[in-house]
Amino acid sequence: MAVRQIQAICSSARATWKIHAISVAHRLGAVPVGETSVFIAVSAVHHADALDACKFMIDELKATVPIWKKEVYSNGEVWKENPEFMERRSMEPAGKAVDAPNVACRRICCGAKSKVSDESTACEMNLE
Amino acid sequence: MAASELKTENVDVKPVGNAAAAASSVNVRVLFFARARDLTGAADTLLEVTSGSTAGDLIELIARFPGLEEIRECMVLALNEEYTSNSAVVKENDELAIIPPISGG
Repeated sequence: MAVRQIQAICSSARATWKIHAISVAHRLGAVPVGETSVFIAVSAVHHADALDACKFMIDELKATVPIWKKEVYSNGEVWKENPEFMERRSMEPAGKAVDAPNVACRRICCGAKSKVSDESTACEMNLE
Repeated sequence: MAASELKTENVDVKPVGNAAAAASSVNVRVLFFARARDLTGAADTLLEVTSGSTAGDLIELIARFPGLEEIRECMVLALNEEYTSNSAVVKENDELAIIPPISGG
């Protein structure tokens, strides 16, 4: 589904900006701290189109592509939550688990339920 | 307490959905990801529900499993790899994904 969603984002970008080529890559599995997890490249005749499309795509990816990141520390682990996803949920009724437009999702859902006490000992990320 | 393996035979799964619908049932596979997988201890489970049931009906069933209450308010649903709402009707062999807050990028 992640691939389908990324393809949909590419189609949206093409519908909005005049762009030539798009390349998106996302790592899965263990990603050591400091290494790149996502890559988006856009080419266009006009640089503004390329930059705007690129920004759109990373924002959309963080809001809608079903990929999860778990940060693993020496003393625990925590599932990260993208603010882009949380904001999008509070704006759009479709896709909500609860049909209640007045229900505001908590700012942090699963991220608070972690065993981490010392965040300075980050080790690696697990992407699935 | 570790989450026990999700076995549908251990859960009292009652048919839900429109009471006036035909007695036929549909089998739907529910997929758990990330935190949902941690909480249920399973990657997926098979549910048999009354024909005409909605995604929301399935969520009501799933919510009986211990632990899922934690993400109930923040999860979204995808039916056959497309985001969907509670009111979507599920069909035979559909796949419903439980999607906790995402963190790609």
